[in-house]
Amino acid sequence: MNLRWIGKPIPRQDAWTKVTGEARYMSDLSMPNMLWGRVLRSPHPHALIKSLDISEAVACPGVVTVLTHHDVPGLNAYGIVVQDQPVLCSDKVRFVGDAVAVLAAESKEAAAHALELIKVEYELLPGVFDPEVAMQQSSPAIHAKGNVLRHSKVHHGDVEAAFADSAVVVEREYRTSRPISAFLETEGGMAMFGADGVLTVYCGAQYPDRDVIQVARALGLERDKVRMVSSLVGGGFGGKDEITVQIYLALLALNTKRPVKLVLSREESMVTGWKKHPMIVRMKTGASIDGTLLAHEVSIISDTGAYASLGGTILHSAMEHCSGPYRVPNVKVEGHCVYTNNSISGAMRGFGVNQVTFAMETQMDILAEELGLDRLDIRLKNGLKDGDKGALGSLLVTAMGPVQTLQAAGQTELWSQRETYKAEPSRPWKKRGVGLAAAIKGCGLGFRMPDFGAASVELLPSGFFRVRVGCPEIGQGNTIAFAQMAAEVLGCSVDQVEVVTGDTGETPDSGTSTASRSIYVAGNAIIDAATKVVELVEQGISARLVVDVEEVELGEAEVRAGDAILSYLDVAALLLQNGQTCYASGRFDAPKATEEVPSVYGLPHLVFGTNAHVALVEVDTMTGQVEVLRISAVSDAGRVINLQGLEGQSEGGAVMGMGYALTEDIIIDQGMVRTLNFNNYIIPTAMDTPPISTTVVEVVEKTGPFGAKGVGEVVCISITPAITNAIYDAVKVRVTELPATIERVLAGLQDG
Amino acid sequence: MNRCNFVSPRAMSEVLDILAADPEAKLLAGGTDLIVQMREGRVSPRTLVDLSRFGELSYIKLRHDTLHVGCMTTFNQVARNPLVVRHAPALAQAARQVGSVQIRNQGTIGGNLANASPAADSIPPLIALGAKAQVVSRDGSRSLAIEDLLAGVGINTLLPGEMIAEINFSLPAPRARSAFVKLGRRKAMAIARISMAGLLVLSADGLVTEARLALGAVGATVFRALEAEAALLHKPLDRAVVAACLQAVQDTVAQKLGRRASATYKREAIRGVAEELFFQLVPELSAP
Amino acid sequence: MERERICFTLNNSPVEIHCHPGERLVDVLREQLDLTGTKEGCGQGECGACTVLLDGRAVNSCLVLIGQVAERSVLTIEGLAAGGKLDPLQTAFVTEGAVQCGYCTPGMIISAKALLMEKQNPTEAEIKEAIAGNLCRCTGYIKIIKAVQTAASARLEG
Repeated sequence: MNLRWIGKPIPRQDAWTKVTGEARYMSDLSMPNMLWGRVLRSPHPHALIKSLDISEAVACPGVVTVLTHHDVPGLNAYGIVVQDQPVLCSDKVRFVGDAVAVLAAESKEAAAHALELIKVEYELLPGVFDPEVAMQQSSPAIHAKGNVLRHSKVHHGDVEAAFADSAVVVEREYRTSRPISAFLETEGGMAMFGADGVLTVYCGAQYPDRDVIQVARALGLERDKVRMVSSLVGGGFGGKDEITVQIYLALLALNTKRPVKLVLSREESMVTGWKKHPMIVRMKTGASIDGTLLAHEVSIISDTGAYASLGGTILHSAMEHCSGPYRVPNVKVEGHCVYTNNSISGAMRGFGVNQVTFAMETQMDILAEELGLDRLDIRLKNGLKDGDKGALGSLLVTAMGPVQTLQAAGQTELWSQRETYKAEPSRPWKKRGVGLAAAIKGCGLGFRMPDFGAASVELLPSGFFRVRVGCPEIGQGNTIAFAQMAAEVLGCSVDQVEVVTGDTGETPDSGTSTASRSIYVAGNAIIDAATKVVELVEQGISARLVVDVEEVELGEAEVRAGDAILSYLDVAALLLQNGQTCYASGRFDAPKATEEVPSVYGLPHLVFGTNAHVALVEVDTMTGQVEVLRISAVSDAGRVINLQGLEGQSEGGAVMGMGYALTEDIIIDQGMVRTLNFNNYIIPTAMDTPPISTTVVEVVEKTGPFGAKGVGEVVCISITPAITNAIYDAVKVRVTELPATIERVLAGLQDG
Repeated sequence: MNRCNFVSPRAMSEVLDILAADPEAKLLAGGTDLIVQMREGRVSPRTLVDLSRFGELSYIKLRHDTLHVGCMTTFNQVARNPLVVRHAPALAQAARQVGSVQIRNQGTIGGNLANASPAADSIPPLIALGAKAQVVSRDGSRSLAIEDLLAGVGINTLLPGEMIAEINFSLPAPRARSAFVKLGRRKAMAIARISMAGLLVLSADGLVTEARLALGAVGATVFRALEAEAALLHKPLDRAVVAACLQAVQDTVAQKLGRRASATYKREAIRGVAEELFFQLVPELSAP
Repeated sequence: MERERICFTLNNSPVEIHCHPGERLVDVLREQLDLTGTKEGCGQGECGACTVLLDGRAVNSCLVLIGQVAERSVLTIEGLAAGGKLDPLQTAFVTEGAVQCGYCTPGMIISAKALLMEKQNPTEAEIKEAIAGNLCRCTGYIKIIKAVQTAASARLEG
């Protein structure tokens, strides 16, 4: 394929207004006559609401409205899969931060003051904070239907026989932490009710079209009376996939008929934001003497907190990826997703795969050690290939990259020269180690969920092409990739293309900006639409200028029609003035596996991206402090659309996964969130970030646009076990609980 | 924050008058702690006294072998000052490790001291340097050792109407060495999990003639590890002496923390912090 | 409490506002003056999204009260492009791919600006130290560091 724009490191178009401060995020917006909203939240993890008195708050000067569950006109609940989370709690609160009332006032100060005047009488209930306790019948029920949201089992092959045949069997328990997306822009935005009767909610989010459904359902409005504008977004990472504050904004604007702004404080965001599921993962893995994996038995208990959101789906994703990027012929996996009174867990970059990959990649290192095998060799031997079966027994029929990716990891200087890198620690009492790990992550929504891309391409009177896609730009850089793909098909330069995303008033529903999917599905839809627009332009010009269609050719800055050369402005004038529209919509339905995995709803995925990481660490044997000195990432993204964007994902993913490995955790003690801001939610700074190199392996996926797959999540997964495996390589401390804090590592050193 | 009375005096005498009239008034120095505390509702002063409008409290000057640091001197000014870097590297190192550039541009040494956090970065080196605080009120002034200013977590011993005007210390002996080590959870923007500062003076024949070691974040206040200092005094600085000193530091910390939850970790990790401190103070000792 | 007249220099021009001196600089910039390029990420001085230059030095505008700003000079991201010409840092952030979601970008650029005003050709370690108070959740900092280096070289050459 001779490609003009695909693969090039083209700077993002949206960066220009971001560097000048002109770019307006949804939480930057304001309007004349605007009110300030606030949410009253439960201070208790589990309690009955005995009474609710808003009279003093309503009477407070400057307060315009105070709303409770009585004022939710439609369904007082939301949730992507099941609607079990009240918009405003009526009878019961289930976590610290559960919403009880919302209000709007003339100023921030009046809103804050009025919040203190709402009187809620609670009757405290015993809380359930340990998911294994929550599973027991005798535990207090958080929801009427019981505390187990999802219980699923898959078994294929003969696991018992395969364990009996195994030369070694490794059995360990892993516990993972509760990190949060911690996007720099907290959840917030503005809403207003227009003269046309349309309620517009401006709120940074990852799927505006679904937000419309959830807002309209809660407000009892027709969907066409609600418009969501979701872009720009100051970071998403999964934490803006579910509803955050959209419904509160909508309720307040609807009731006051005035613009209302509401932005969560960082503390409110930390308490009420969506966290990655803490999981207890028990793994028993058997291998033959040459390291071939034979049997794998896995139990996963996932703490989804007070409400479902995507908890069940995330459990299933964890189950699907429970053998990491490796082939195991006999697998038994059982998962429980359990309600507790610990905050709320939901989507966060990796979607259940980080947790199980951390466990599996630790198992692989332990197996290698017990069998006396090289850590890379055992991985290469078992790496998934096209035609293998995945962990749940489904056939993998698309381009699988584990072997190629691991081979490239083995060729990095950091791995091949690891003994040299380890040789000279900075202090006599410090030790260095190198770790290796790999991961796969399914792209898209799996077997059951509608998984489509939609886009439109239009030639504007200005001579520019406008591409419209629903999937919002959340920072990941899909707009520049969309522009490149459109330009590649259209023939024009990338500068000739403008991209609009994330506005239900303007962009076609193209699904979520999640699940590493937007480039894959929307890219294909753009190719479809752009191909049609090329035909429209060619035919239109051919007819107007009376030349053969074959003689019309769209170029970078101009269109050639026989002997004539036209600028795009001329082309637009020629076609549009004569009433011809140069607009086409495109559609792509993601291919699905031929059959569903029995007994786990919605699986399998069809397309997988792969990543591998090599990490060099230095461990202080006296304090337990771990410093990451160097990271090599290997990324299989299929065909790379924008190299600069891919590197940006790879570098950012590596640092996020490094935080997951070493420092990031929201501490919840008896339901009380103790980690409230960035003073103790420890995100790596620039000084903590080592050099990161990214090697690209293009295992081209034929169903992807130009062969691309998604990378947004897989880039942040294997770095975590690469670091913990490096810690073991350095000091023989096996990290089985995340994060590997200074305390845990030192305790491990003392035990050893 | 905008419910309080905000005053911006133009001279020190005005500040002292305000403090005398309203001992509850809060001094706003850099604000990097106070504004956070106000935002969280932990303090809600009726009156805020802004000290930024007159320059006379921001200085570093050497007079008769004493280094005088005005209370409004920022951490960045301390960290970069050639006199501090040359004579009190421990203090320069500590100032450079405070928060971030932004915090160091605003935060002041006087504010850090008055705030009396056991994890305050500037306090261990000041104690190791034997620094004193010049405390003033409308009625006069007094000088007290930094240790005597600290009464507990976030509690200082200032009397109503008093403020810290200056911090000063005699220049260490020409052969003195000093260093500061902070153990945090990351390399910047870190709150000290444990910190330690040390100052050693060696005689020409290599005996320790002066030793001051101060420990941060291992008790309610920063304090001197006196037994550990004694383990060094009048001894040659060899590996065995340092080992005895490290043991004494460790014992002190274990005793200080008792059964506190953090004790399990800190009584072990302190050894690594102290080891790093000696690595910096006497690098020749750690040569393999 | 009383509102006061407060005068200061903002992006090289004198401004006069009426507000309570205890208001935070970040709120005055964003809500009174509609300069929303300065972001608020934590309200605690822990993330750097609100970084501005105060008398040429980088500070967190969430930890500065407007009363402290009187008669002083503030530069925000909106004032960086002198006469409409982008600062080399701004251009380098775009061309090096240092911008993703962009929410940390204004504060990050201001911190880098403070560094380059002091040091023409900073080392990588100095760059990391200068931006360590600015959290970025998207980029992993690598391209930001590169952009600062590129801007420094552009200034040296230019």
